[in-house]
Amino acid sequence: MPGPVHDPGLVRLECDLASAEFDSGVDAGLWRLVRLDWPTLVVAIVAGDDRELGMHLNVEGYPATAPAGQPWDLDKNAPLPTDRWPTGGTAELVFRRDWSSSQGNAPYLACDRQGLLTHGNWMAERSDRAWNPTRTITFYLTEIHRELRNASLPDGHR
Amino acid sequence: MPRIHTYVATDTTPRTYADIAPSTPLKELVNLGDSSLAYGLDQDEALDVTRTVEELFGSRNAHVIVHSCREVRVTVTYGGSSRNIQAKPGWRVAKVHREAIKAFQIDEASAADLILRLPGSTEELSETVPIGGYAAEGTCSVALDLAPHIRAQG
Repeated sequence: MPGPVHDPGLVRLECDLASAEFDSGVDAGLWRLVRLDWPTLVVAIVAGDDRELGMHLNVEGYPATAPAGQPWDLDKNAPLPTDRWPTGGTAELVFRRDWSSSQGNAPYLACDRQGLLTHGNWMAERSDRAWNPTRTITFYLTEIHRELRNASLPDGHR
Repeated sequence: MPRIHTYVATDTTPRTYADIAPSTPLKELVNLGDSSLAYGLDQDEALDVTRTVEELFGSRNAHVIVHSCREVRVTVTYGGSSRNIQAKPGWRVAKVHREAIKAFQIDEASAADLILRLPGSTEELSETVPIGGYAAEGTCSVALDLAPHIRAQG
């Protein structure tokens, strides 16, 4: 009997989650894998106050299609209410109460699926920051982590 | 069993050893040659490669760079002026970035919008890669630009 058929996107994602660049971020305390339940990936990304922001990523179509992320309550396994989103530094330019909350809580970034869907110019004009099929999940995590470096999270986060 | 990622000079693409037996001496995974040493990432002291990966790293995945330079001189240019940073080959780019911010006395808010890249490049250096991966063993130096990070907008 043939073995189980694995989605090629899952195979690629598992490979990228075992890569040196992903492991190095874990080792440096920048992020960690919470769980992978294809096509959902949940990660925790460390902010400037050493608390963790959970992110729930729809990775269907990976890596051809950009991940679609939203802040996530790791304890309740549910979307993170906006009053518990990161603040300070540049976080509020990315986790925008005025934009993200009407776009499935997506971060305002060119590496995110919703950002690209709503900004047809970003792929060409901001190719250095935009998702493309050669990117890996670590690129997405790096883009989020950069905006959290000087941010803080309200009480209740780990 | 852990993964061990090994880097060498002037190469930022590591070689990965998966499912390494904990009793494996590190020297079986790295080639030091005549004058190189092995460093853990963000560590200042060289590793004793006769020790096992379990003794050195426990059960964690680990990252090692083999480099003949004991120090790497990183010349960072920002706003028309330059500062030198004496880094260890195993320092991650993120650590070099923090040291550059200190050297230029840049405040936290401004630092959030600055990235490191190679001169002439528009690509940001990966913060998790060791700086020794950019430094040639003959010169033990690397030049970087501290440049604005421009977000996608509108």
